[in-house]
Amino acid sequence: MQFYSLAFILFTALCMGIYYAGPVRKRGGQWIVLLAASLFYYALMGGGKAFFFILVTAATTYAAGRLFSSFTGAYKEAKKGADRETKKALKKAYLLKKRTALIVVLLINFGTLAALKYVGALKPSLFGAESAAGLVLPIGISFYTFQSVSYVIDTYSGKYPAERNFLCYLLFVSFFPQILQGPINRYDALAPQLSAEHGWKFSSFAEGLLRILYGFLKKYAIANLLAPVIADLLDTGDPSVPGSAVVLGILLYSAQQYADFSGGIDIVIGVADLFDIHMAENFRQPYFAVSLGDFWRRWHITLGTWMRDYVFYPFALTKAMQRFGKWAGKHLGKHAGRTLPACVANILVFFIVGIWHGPEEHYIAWGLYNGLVIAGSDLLAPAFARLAAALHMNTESKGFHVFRIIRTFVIVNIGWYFDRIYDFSHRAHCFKNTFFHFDLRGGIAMLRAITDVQHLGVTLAFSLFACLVVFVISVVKERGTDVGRSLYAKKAVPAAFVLACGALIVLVGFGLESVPGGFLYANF
Amino acid sequence: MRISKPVRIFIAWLLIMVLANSLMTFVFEPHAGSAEVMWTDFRKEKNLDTVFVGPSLCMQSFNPYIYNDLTGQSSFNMATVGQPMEATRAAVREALKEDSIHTVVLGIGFYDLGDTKSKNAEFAFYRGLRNASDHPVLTDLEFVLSPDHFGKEESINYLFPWVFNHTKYVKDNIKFKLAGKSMLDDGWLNGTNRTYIGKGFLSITAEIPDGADMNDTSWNIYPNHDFSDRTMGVLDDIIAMCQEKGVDLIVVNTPHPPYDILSYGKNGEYFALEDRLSAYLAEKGVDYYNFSLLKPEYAVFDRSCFEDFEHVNDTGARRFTKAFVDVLQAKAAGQDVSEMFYHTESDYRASFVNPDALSFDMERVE
Repeated sequence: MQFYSLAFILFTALCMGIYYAGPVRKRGGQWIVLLAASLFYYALMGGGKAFFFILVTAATTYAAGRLFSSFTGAYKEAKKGADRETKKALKKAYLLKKRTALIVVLLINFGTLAALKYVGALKPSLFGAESAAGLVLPIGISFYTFQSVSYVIDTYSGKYPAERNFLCYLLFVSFFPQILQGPINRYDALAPQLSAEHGWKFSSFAEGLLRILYGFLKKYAIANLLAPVIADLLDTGDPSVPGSAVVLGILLYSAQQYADFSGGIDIVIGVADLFDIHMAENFRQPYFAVSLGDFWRRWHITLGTWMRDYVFYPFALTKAMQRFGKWAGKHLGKHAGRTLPACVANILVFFIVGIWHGPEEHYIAWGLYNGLVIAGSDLLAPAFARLAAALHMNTESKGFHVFRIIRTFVIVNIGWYFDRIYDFSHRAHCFKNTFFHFDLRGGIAMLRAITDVQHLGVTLAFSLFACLVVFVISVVKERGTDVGRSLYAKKAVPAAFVLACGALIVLVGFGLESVPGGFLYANF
Repeated sequence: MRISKPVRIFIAWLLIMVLANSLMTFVFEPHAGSAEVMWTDFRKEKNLDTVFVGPSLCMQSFNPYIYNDLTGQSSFNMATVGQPMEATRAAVREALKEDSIHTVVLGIGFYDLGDTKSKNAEFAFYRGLRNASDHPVLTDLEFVLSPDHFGKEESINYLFPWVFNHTKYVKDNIKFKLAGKSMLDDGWLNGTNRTYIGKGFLSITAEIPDGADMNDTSWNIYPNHDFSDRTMGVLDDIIAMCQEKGVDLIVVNTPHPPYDILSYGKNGEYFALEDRLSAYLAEKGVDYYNFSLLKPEYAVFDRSCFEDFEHVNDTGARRFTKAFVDVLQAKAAGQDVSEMFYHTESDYRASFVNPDALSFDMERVE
């Protein structure tokens, strides 16, 4: 069931109808409606076997939270009136129990993820090309596993009390809009909303619809149209592919990747808004970033913050890294001492980010590229500052700001070489040809030779137009303007006109994607 | 009574969308596609005995006028351009509502049993069906609510006909529509080398041109070289519908030029698919004939019979329709018609003087 379908519209409308109905709302049953809808949706999309895995994740992570609470309660009770030695022993035992439970739950869940997503791919003879033990990779497993693990770690560290109601917790894990592609929400931000009472609010509904429309525009007027062109340019495997064709393919990919992913997230967030549930933002105009580090605070934000909170800081603050930092400070200077642990942590984080995307070499290379560039830029920050001063650059000027944006865009696009050109040797050729065999004419000829995308010129022009629309909206958002509020503040007809234009852009995108043949005979 | 702003926005949006949709449909939805012509003419027919269903291969191959002359029956060609199997199933379902029909002939190529489907063709097919239907809304609902479409974008885009079915010859399209011409007066009749002569049959006078690309073959043009579970499932449905109604279903692989057959893969892929399909249909009790493999003593399909690597022209349709009737009549007379066809690659190749030297004019062994 696609988001853009009559089935999904009816499904959502039915859910909303029941959700906002007075009796349901007044009896505190809205979360039950969401749970039923989520489980139904997951069963429909994932099938029975996938259901088993999400239940295992929900059950084990819920149980972990309850165990931590139970251990903590028992420990607090036991240490009352105990002497110092006893308290010390009690604490040791308590921490050991908690840590053991944490490790077991993490092993179960990450182990399942690894077995299904990675071992099956790396050893097809063992498990089959796509799955472990003949089981299909459960939909959304990467997202709900990370989301559930964040809950486990938070309850382990006592950030908030554990959820006592398993069904409420199951809703947090399985909430249907987010299940396929995130965002990776945090329990303390999402769960209170899921269980709260929500009255009908036009603002949430209107914002949701607008967000959904925007997501469809990105997906169908940009991402889907560009995908086949990108494939034709980047998947030839031809070692003599013109560098100009590669550069064009990568630039188109930068648009397609953003439009596809952020468009999907817009739809997800918009659907949640319809139920007055506000999810974590996952994109914040990433191509306006002024550094690669800034880019990763704007792109797949929830994955970045997850990595920051559960990998980067825990790793960087380990005794080993602290000792390393001291050693570096002593032998390599103060800046190195402060920065190197973070650099190592960043490389680790992005290595994991790469693997999270998939077990293929190009994802790992892409992750490491990002980690190394961020680490390098942190290490070289003082050198860059000295260079800017020596060149009398006004680093606060608008011009320098634009320079940083363009520089970051180039750096990000180099990273897309790793992400999108899957074959190692072809990628090497593409890199080489980008610098040593640009061949603009050859690239144009290659573009002209594309035959499986009919009306290529119109398709590209239209996608470019849609990209401009997204660019303008992004600029407005970057300046802090609430686009939805501004739109709905207008008079009815102009607002309706803008919305209609958005819908028509989506429809034209569909039309161009399914371009038929020529004259009347070829008309179906 | 003051209407709230959200309601005003919604009403204004709806009005704009209806107006824009009407305008875009008028400008872009083609005047007289094959589906619309077929359904309109089909609805005029009475007491049909036989229908031919399938994509353009079928539309150009079975000439109902010749068939009717030779058999004394009444037939109609329900094939349309790019007709996917799901639409064929719908065509058969509609046909079986006519109690007079006792034979359904499915004319396809291997590609039609693969996984690729033209959404445009399917959509236009249903638009044609609904425009010629007495109950258009029911037809609309059948489309959007069917399991094939309900959970997909087609269920929404169905409301916007120009999305999936649009012509690039906009000026001519507007001209025909503004002139209020009958779909049979123009467009098709005046198309280059093609004439719609009625009963769903499109007559093509073009032959494979001298400058044609020898690499344009079924193997190269169509990426799928296998049958898909989806289309085989639909074929099962068609078989079941016909058997339930006591209607004979005949599956025909329409003629392709020899160079297309001989260039299909390098390791016997063509005959592997042929064997699979034959065995599958035999198991289901369905007659199947592959006229690309018809022995030359029964009919020769040379270059003069083809428009391209997969479509026969008018000469080919005449020859093929007669050959088809000959096979049916031979079978009815108790002959073993399997003797009329090649069944192995070696036998087929042996019928050519030089099977490895591919050309548009492949010489047969005398």
